[in-house]
Amino acid sequence: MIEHCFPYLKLRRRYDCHPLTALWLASFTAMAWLFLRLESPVWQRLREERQRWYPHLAGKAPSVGDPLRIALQSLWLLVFRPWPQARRRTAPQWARRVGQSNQRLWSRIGAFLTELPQHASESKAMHEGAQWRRNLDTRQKHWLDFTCAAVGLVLVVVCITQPFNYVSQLVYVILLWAVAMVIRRMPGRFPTLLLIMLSIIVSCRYLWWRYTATLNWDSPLDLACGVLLLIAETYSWLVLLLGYIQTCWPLNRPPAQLPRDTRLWPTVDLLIPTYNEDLSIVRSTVYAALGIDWPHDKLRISILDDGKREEFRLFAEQAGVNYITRNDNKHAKAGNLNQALKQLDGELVAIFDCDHVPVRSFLQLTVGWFLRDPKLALVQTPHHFLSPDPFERNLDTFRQRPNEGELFYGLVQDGNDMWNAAFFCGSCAVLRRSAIDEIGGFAVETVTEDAHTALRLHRKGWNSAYVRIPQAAGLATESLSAHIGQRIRWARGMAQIFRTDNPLLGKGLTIFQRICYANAMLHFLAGLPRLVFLTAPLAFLLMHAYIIYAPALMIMLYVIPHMVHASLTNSRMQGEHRLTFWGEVYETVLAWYIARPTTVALFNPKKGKFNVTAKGGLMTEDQFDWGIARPYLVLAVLNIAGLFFAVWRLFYGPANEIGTTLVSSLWVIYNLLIVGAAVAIAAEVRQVRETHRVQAKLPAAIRLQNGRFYPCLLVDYSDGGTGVQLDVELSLPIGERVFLMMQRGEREFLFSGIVSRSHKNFIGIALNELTAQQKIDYVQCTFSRADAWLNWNEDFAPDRPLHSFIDVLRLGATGYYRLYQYLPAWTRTLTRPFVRLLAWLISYVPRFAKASPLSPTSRSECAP
Amino acid sequence: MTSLSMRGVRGGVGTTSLMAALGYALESLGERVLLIDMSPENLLSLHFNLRDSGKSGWARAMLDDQDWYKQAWGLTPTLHILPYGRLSAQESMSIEQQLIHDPQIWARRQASLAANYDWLLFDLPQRLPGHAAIGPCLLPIQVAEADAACHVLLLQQAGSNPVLVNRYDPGSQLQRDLLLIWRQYYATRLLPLTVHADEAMREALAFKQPVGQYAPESLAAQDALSLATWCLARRREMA
Repeated sequence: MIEHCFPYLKLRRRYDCHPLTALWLASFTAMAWLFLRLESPVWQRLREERQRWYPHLAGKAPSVGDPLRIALQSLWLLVFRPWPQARRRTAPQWARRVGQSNQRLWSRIGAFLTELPQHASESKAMHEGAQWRRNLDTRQKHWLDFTCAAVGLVLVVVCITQPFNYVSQLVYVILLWAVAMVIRRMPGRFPTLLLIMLSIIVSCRYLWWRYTATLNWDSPLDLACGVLLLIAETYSWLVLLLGYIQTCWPLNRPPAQLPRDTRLWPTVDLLIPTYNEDLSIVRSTVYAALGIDWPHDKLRISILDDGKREEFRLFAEQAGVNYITRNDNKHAKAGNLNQALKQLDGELVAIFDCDHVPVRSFLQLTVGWFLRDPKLALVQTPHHFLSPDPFERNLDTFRQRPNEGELFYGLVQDGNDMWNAAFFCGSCAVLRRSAIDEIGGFAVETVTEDAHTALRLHRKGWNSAYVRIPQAAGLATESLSAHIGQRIRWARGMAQIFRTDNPLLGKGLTIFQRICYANAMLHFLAGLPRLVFLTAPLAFLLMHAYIIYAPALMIMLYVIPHMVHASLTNSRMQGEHRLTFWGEVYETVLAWYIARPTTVALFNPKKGKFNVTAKGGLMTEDQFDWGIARPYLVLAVLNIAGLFFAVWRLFYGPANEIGTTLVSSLWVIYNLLIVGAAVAIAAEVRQVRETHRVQAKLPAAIRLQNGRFYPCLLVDYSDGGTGVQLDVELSLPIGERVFLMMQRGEREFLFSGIVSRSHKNFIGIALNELTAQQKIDYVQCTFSRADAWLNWNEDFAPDRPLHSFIDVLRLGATGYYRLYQYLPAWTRTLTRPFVRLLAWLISYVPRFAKASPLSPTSRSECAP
Repeated sequence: MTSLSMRGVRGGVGTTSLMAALGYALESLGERVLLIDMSPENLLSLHFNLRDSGKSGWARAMLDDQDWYKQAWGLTPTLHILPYGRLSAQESMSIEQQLIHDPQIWARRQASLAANYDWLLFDLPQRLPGHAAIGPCLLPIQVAEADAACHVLLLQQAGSNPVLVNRYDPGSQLQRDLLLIWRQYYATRLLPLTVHADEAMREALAFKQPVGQYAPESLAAQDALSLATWCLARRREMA
């Protein structure tokens, strides 16, 4: 009894409390027993459920502050109650009715808007109008178009240049925003054009206002900073506009049908250039190429080996493909291709990088266009990656979100195709031999020889095409530094082409082709403008320079519509291919690194030392890439300094600057979070396996040694093995021999393998002992299936701009947390006291009780 | 009511086991099925563990002047089986003579059964043409194995009945090549599915159960289910 009321010994022995602590707690318990009648049934019930009512004390060792915690929690529970689900008070009748009729109204409006395009295209008035226009003669048509264009232009100019005061501007932007939100609901291409129009008007208006009303000519510092920012903003405005023109009407070119008579099909040379890559990577490509559906005598496969390796020659002989090599290694890949073409004479040339595995239907889907258009020189298909790129791997978003290259291969090239400006990307493409000969072979002067070759083809009047069905898959760059190295090379190459063979000048290109090429090159000049944006608000906070010489409220009224319309329109056009605001993150990651090479290449195209050596290879452990992350950290530190200055200015600065300070600090916080996202990406995650596994859902079967055959689902495959999921648990021992049956079309193949993993229904099979023919069959059953890469997007959620924005901001916060985790130990010993203090304070915070399984607040399955 | 028959291109290709599996699969898809054993070997009922299997049957009843329709057994309310009966070689020959003499016997019997069953499945013997005269048959399937003997026999017979490949082993080069050839030559006749060589089929007979019951997770059971689905699809097409 004494033990029960005064549990001093229990506290000492079982919980190993300090004698004073135990005394303190024991006396509190004794007082409670004395005064509170703890033996009554009510208190008994409470004490039985104390894990539930006091969850923060549940697993904790008793400590001095416990009585206070208990008191606070009890007070909290007495005063507040969690909102019971089942007994939520229903809204009053009138509110519900208003809500319902509102919903009905909006769903009707939504349905009306969704069907509007279809109604419009079917309506008689539209048809009559179109007919009337067709019946006009050419002169009248020109006059009509001219008048409409003139009127439209006048209205647009008025919209852009009319200065407004606060109220008028507010009303104006709200109206435009409302119009945009309504147009958004309508499906189809024409509403997209309307949205583009609105966004152009708003953005042009913003830029006009900036040029005319926000430069402070009196102070040289203000002027210098302001002009710098203005140049950067003009750059992004230009890229926005050109981007709209480039992608406003994606062509969605379908594959062209080949004639039934295979004698009319052209001969194709399939080239696989390689330099220092491993044979195991090239093997899959060659095996898949052997399985391409094309008449055997019209397809010649060649390995172009710049490394002159004997094992490649043996492999080529064994597989039955051509092996071409050369004496020197001049001009890298372009030189390799040019030299090989001297020995080949196929009408078409298909080029694959050594790790891009083609699908069996590649030629069937691309060659048709060459037969249909005699002036066609190039058909390009997307570069699809079956392994995660550094962004996806470090952020763990593989196959849940579109990746970085998806925008280019899903939308930009498609838009380029509309203007006959789709360009060569170095791999997964088919070119016409006579066209290559006409321009004198592949271009060797720049580092991005593929875009330069396409530019020359276009100048000579050849056409190009883009079929947006993924027909090959390769490996993405291994690490962030390798990725950045690759982008630096592309950026330098594009800047070199801009200087030496400027698409805006010279003959042979249509105006739209010039725009598309110029935009592709301008895209890579984004380094400096992005750096300017990331440091712009610091000009005011650190140096008190008015970079935007306008009241804070006016800035908000101009900037916010500009951003909102741009993201609405981009979400509409690009939503499937890139989530909103992720472009900012990608640009920030690359900004510092491409700023210098592009500037150097712009001034002196021949100069410039070669890239950062890629680390490459297997990432063996989680690590933070300090080298790569240094620029981001510098930017983060600068911005944090800006924040401190902002706080100081809020307290000690003049009162009329508070608005500007607040706006600047909001901008700084936004910059910090974007840089934080870049920091998150620099925290490299280790790669577990060497060969990349592709997730799939294919029907298969396994046969055991005793002759029993079980159907299963193939859930992943890779070069060395597969993983299958059965309907029953077989408990196979590791090392047992099994046979895997897979099919390709109507044919079935049996592969002999060994069980490497076995867990419940899941079995991993290692396929290491296949003969050469079996390896060919295996690649053709898995990597080179015609539908292998078509369902890559099935798990993508649709783009929602606001959610995506919040996601990016949240990612920024986690970036800093990851940085903290990787900091050296001494910094953590510095911050540990603060973290501990914070945790101790939080332990006093009362919280709601967990819902019990039988209380009315929880939803119970079994009704009493 | 649809009638389906299976007959081997040559003897011993596994027709009876396949028939038992198909009957079980069709019943599991909700059809009312009657399995009729037309083969003097009388092994179909062994697949279903009939206690009295071997003695009674429709042929036995015909010889003993009893009602043929009273010889059926109900395995489940929707799966019935009509065994052949145990007959000596001469008795089978006399039944053969009767059936040759009056080829419409089974046509009439089918008509009388039409109302009570969705499927009548006939397991035909490889020889004995008289026993093969079962009246109107929507799906007269021929069962073959992908080997040289069946290849030659198919060429010789030159018929137009659908052909089903049984005991297919994808590890055998010969079987794969033959199947490729057949898919080209008999494109209209060859069924789009094959039944794979699964030890579960043999073990099922040893257990005296249809394979769908003995090893429902095996590939053989799945193939039988695919075959049943194909039959249902064909019935809908031809209706």
